[in-house]
Amino acid sequence: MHEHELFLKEKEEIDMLLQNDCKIVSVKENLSGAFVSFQLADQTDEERITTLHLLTPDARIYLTNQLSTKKMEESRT
Amino acid sequence: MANLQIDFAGIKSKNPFWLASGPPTNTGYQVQRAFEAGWGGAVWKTLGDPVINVTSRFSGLNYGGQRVAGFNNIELITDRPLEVNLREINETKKKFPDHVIIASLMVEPKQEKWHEIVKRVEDVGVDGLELNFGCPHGMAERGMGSASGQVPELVEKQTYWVKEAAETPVIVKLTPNITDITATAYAASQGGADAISLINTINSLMGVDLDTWHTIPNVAGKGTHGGYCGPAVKPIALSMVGECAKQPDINLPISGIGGIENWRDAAEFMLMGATGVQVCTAAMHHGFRIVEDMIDGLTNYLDEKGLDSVMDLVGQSVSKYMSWGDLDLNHKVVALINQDYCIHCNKCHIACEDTAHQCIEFFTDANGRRSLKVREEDCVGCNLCSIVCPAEGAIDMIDKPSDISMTWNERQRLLHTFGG
Ligand SMILES: Cc1cc2nc3c(=O)[nH]c(=O)nc-3n(C[C@H](O)[C@H](O)[C@H](O)COP(=O)(O)O)c2cc1C
Repeated sequence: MHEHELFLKEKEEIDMLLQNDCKIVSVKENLSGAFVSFQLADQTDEERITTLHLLTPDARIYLTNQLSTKKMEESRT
Repeated sequence: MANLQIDFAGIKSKNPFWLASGPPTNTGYQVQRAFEAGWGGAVWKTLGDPVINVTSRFSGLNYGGQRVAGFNNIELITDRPLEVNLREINETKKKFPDHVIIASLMVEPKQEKWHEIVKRVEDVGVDGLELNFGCPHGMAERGMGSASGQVPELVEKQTYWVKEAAETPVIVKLTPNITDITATAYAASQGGADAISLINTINSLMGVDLDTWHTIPNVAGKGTHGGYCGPAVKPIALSMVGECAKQPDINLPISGIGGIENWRDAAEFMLMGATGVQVCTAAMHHGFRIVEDMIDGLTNYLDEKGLDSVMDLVGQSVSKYMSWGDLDLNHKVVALINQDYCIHCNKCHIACEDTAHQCIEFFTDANGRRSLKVREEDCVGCNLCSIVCPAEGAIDMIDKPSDISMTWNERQRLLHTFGG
């Protein structure tokens, strides 16, 4: 698979979770890439619904772009 | 017409082009001819206890048809008695009062030695002093040159001693043979230097003769490490000048040296923070008259840019020279192959396939011809294809602007709030 295709797959997974009322609660980066944990937006407990493992650099920067946009939106509201 | 005059640490020069200390400034005869050719100033061949040189001394790196892409020497400082040099400096200064003469000095790291030579050279009317803490070979084995210049405490102390005696501006010439040149630049400023100049030559061995196994250059079959300079060192020198220029606690005028061959190189050094430039290898390769093109070219450039004075260039690019962590990770450029100019050599394909990101692929064009195109989405914008492409204009790197900017530093701060 070309790297761009892998990125598109990873982007789709991020988008899908974010569109389905999930929020990112933690991001951990290590030798294996980025591990992004999501939970339902209205959920308050620690229960995480899923953790994405991002491999591509494009997905890792896409993720932080999303986080930054969200942060900016939140600070505006 | 734009004004090329510079004010370098109080030294006024009719243009920013000075000859660097070295073979071109060995004698009054040469410096006077250089001034006649148009050079604004000259840093005299380093004065000190006269040496005995070896032969042979120089070697050139020829690369792909380009002669003297790099240059290496094992020459020491002047081999002429101080009195002879001083007499010629005095004569030259009298004949060319409007031209700048800087005395380059190198003595043992002893206060009285510095005081003595400073007084003697200032007595003959030099416009400034340059302390040679740079030569990597020969003199370093005697505790001078880069042996002094690599130890910030020695740079500071010797600069201080010179300043005790000096009445003219003191320029400290730095060696690049150090991990962080800002450490010695800072030491010079702490010692009271009025300016810094950089770079001196880079420690090097030019090669080994595959027939005789002698190192190059060799002296009766034996060799030693020498100082490297010429066009090959320009990127190293330019980066070191930029590093010093962007350091707020150094804050000294900079004389840029290293691989400068033409007005473009000079303008780049000035944009990176140099107030003036010095040239050695290019004058040795092409002669003094290269300064004519340098003067014309720089004047035309300033006129085209609508600038009145060359001083308006100084430091303009420094704030654009950042830490890696402050660069935008979202900025993207991609390669575009211009089929009209492509000569179908396939070098871009090979480079990308073997050593980059495998995104230049073959397709058959409307005329049934096998051609190459970039799979844009997989192109990481590394520039390699355009660097190896031999056909001018065949590969353009196209900007793909992004709405959001995100630097590594911003990203790490953001991730920190998510436990990253
Ligand atoms: C043969 C030769 C002799 C040199 N001698 C001296 C010297 O006596 N003092 C000094 O400060 N620098 C000396 N240099 C270094 C030059 O002044 C300059 O710093 C260096 O060559 C980089 O500039 P370039 O690339 O324009 O040559 C010498 C360089 C060469 C090539």
